[in-house]
Amino acid sequence: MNGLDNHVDRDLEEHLRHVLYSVAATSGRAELRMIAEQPHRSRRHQLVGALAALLLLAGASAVAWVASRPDAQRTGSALPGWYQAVAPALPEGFEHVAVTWSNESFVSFQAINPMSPSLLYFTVSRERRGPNPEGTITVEELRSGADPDRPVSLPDGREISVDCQVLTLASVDRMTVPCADVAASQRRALALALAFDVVPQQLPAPAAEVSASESSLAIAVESVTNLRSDGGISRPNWGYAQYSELGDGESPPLLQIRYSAGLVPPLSESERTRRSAGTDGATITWQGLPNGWLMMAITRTPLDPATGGLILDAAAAHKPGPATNATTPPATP
Amino acid sequence: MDGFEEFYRAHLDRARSLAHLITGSRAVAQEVAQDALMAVHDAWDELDNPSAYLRVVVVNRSRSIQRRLVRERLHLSRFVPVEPSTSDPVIDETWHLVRRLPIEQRTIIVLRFYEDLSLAAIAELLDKPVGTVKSSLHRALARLKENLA
Repeated sequence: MNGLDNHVDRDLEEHLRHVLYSVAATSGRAELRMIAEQPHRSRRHQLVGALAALLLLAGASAVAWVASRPDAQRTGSALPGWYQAVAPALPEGFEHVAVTWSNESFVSFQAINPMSPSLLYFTVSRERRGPNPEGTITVEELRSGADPDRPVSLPDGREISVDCQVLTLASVDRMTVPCADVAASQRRALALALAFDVVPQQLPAPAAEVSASESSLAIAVESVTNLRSDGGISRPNWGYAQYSELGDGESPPLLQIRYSAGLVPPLSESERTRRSAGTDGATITWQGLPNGWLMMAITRTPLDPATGGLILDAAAAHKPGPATNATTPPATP
Repeated sequence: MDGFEEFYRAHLDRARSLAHLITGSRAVAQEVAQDALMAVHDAWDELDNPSAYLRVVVVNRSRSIQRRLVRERLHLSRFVPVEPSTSDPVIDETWHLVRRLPIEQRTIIVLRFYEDLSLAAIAELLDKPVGTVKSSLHRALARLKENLA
C-alpha cells in the first residue's frame, strides 16, 4: 500500500467515525417508519404500528397546516418569502426549490433542474455550531476561491453548505443523478449570496417531520417488476428507494426511484414532460406528475430500460403522495 | 441491586446508538437496548464488567435481529425506507452505503470506528479469529472506498 492509499484510508476512517457519531446522535429521535408486513406480528408490534399510523396522520396534518400558512402558498405569484430571497442566487436552470428538511437547528433545500435532471443541495444552520469547527472555511476563504464543497462558517458561528455531495458518484451507471453542470463557481456564488442575503432572516418555519407516501411508489414498482426493496432515504419532500433482484445473495441495485415534491414554483407543463437519458449500462427516465412531484427512475442492465417509463405511468395513475403543496387548511386547528 | 439505576441511566443512550448503527433502525435499537439492559439487570450481581457485558449483548441481539429482518425482506418487496438520519446529505449517503454492507462487515465497522475497539477486542467479542476480522474490515473499507470514490 503506498502513501497515497494510506492517506485515503485515514480520510475514509475519519469520515466513517464522523458519520457513525452523527447518526448515533439521532438515535433518540422519534421514528416514523413504514414497516413491511411481518409474517408473524405480535400484539405489541400491532400496537406500535397503530401508534406509528397515528403519528403519521398527525405529521401529515402538521405539514398541511404549515403548507396552508401565507408564507407557504405556492400557487400563482405568491411565492414564499424564503424563495424570493434564495432565487436570485440560484444557478441557471435550478429555479425549482423544495425545503427538504427544516427544524429548530437547520434548514435544507434541494434545487432541481428538471431539464437535465440535476440536483443541488444547500443547508443553512439556525444556531451556532461552535467556534471555528473543523472542516469548514470562512466567508473570506470562500470569496478567495476556497473549495465550495466544504461548509462555510459564518462570523456568528453558524454554517452554510452548498454541494452536490449526495451525488458524488456522478454516474448514472452507479444509480446516481449527474450534477457536473453545477460549476464550483456557481456553488460559491450561491453560498456567498446565502451568507449575506438570506441569513438570518427569510428562512422557512420548522416543519413536521413526516414521510411522503412511499406506499404508492411501492405499488407502482410492484405492478411492473418483481424486485425486492433494498432500502433508501425518505424525507418530507424528497427521497429515493432502491430495488434489487430477488434472491439470497447480494446483488447490486437494478432500479432506483427518486422523487422531489413541494417544489417552488411548481413545474410548468413543458417541464413535466417525460424525458430520458442514458449510457450503455443504464437509463434515467424522469417526469413531472400531476400532483407536483418530479419522479425519476434509473434502471440498470439487465433490467429493460422501458421499465422506468412503465413505473412512472403506474405512479401517475396511483397519484402518489400527499399534497404537500396543498392550500386547503386542515379541518381542525 | 446497588448501582444498577445509575448504570442504566449512564449506558442507555450508548447502547441504543450502538444497536441503531448495527440494525439501522431506531425503533429496533430501542427494544434491543432495553432488552440488553434487562439482561444486565438479571446478571448484575455476577458481573465484573457490566459495560463489556452490555456491549456483547447489544451486538449479539442486534446481529440476530438484523439477520432475521434480512431473511424476511427477501420474501417481501414492499418499500422499506431508511428513516431520515441527519441534515447532511453526505452523511446520509455514506450511512446508506454502510447499511448496505453485509451484517458482519457492518458490525465490525461500527465496533472499530464507533466503539474504537482494537481488532483483537472485536475478534474476542465476535468469537472470530483476528485474521478473519482484519480481512472483513479490509473488504468493508475497500467497498466503501470504491463506492465513495
